[in-house]
Amino acid sequence: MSLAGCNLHLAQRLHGVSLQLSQGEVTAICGPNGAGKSSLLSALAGIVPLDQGEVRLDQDLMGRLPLDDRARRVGFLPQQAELAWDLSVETLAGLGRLPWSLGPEAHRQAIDRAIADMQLEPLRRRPLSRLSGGERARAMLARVLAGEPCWLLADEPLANLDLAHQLALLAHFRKLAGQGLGVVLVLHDLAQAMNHADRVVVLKDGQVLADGPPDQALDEAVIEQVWGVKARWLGDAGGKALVI
Amino acid sequence: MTRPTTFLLLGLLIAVPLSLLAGRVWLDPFAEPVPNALIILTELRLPRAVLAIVLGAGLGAAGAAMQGYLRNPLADPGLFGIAPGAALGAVLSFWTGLAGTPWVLPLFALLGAGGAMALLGLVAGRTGSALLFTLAGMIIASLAGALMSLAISLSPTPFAMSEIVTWLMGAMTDRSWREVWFAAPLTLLGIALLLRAGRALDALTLGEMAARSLGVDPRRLQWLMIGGVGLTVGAGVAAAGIIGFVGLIVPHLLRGFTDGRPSQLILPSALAGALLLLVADCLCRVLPLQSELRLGIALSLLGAPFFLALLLRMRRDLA
Repeated sequence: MSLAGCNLHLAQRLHGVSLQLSQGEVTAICGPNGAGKSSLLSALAGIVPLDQGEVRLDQDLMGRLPLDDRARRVGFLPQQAELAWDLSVETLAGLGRLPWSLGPEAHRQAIDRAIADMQLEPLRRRPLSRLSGGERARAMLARVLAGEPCWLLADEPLANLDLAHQLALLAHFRKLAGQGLGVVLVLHDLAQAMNHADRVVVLKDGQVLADGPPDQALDEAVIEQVWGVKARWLGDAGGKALVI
Repeated sequence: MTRPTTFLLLGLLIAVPLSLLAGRVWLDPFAEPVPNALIILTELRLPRAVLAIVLGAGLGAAGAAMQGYLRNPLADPGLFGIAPGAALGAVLSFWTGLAGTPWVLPLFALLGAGGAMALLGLVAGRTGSALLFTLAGMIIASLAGALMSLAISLSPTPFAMSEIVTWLMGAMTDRSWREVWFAAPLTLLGIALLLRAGRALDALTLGEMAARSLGVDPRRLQWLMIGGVGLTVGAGVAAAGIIGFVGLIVPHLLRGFTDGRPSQLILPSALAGALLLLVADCLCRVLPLQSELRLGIALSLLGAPFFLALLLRMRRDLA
């Protein structure tokens, strides 16, 4: 099972990006502001029209997949957690079931599972406006998980979260990858990418500058080349810290 | 059936017979029969009640769908420029002196609504972006408004001018089965299109990107909205002139009784719109004024303070 982008070009943002991702891995996409991280994620999710190139989900061309089919397989969590109406956690999670047309029982089970996974059980009837930032972020993720996707593409899911919630969410992404999901995250914090991803893709000016295991892709030389910052990694694998 | 739907259906069941009895001539079922009671009932009151229900349902459903589409509780079906387009068509029928001929006025109004819909599709139809769509609607609305003013200022006779101005105020007075026969099928078709858009509107709650990722085709949604709002609002204006605020007030009042998803608001809003227009029309009929209060004016008098209260509450929430 794979998600592959080949020679992706997108309106001044991506210039010939190619990569192949596999399920069961946590892949982090890193890069400075304007490097094209969000564009790459939306291109992989199949929700923006490409100028050139193609995205394949397993063997299928993403652009040719029926919209519902694509939506069932690829879950996408946008950077801005928008919510136009004040829904309850349960109703929000239910939106993740929109691409599915199964009986109410299957929907209920998937929603229950997603809510339980995100430890939102006691809050399931509470409107989002009455949740804390961390609870909101978990509820938004529960919406994606309720859709039972094979791929989870999340754009800066850790932004606006405190440290404890960031770590809890990262642990959860790891668990999902362990269950066989393909997890792709746009991350700003290089230490988190280093310690929690199986693979890191570094973008600069819409091109892939490094791609591989974290300790290679986020090598000190790469960091200097991409971010223009002289930095050193301290600590052991799994607990490294970036010192500037 | 959800609870608001049941209550609103019950409300309609009570309001319809009462509306048939109320008017300049009260029909008291327990008193001596009024002369011509049957004609008053079947040829005046019943078509008027049915028309109020049909148009109110269309406006309510269009308002709920519009608020869902634009993700804004202050959105109104009038924003798309379809109502002014239809009104312009109707004004032209007065201006050319053809309005007296049967079917010409509604036909012109529907052509005006169709023209506005086509223009909307042409200007914004390619991108599927709601913002561009709204701006295109506003341009069409102001263009239609300017052309209407031009038609009024150049009206051939003072009589035509007074007819135009009176008609624009919106009313159910003297409407017959003829208006019902053309407005009902168009409105029902429009409501059906809006109901079909419900699922996509639910997804849109999460923003355009997330909606796309949930399988929403923004262009299909846009066409459903153009078709649905165009048919309901176009048929409404063609039958009764401009009646504002129903589409704004009704969904807002009902939102608290639903789980918040736009799809769950469309049907109750249709029923509540029907009830509101039916009751408002009855009140216009029985108010002891020299001439009957125009429905459009009555609803604007009711709607403007409501809109202001809504705005003030939002301002307080934002502060």
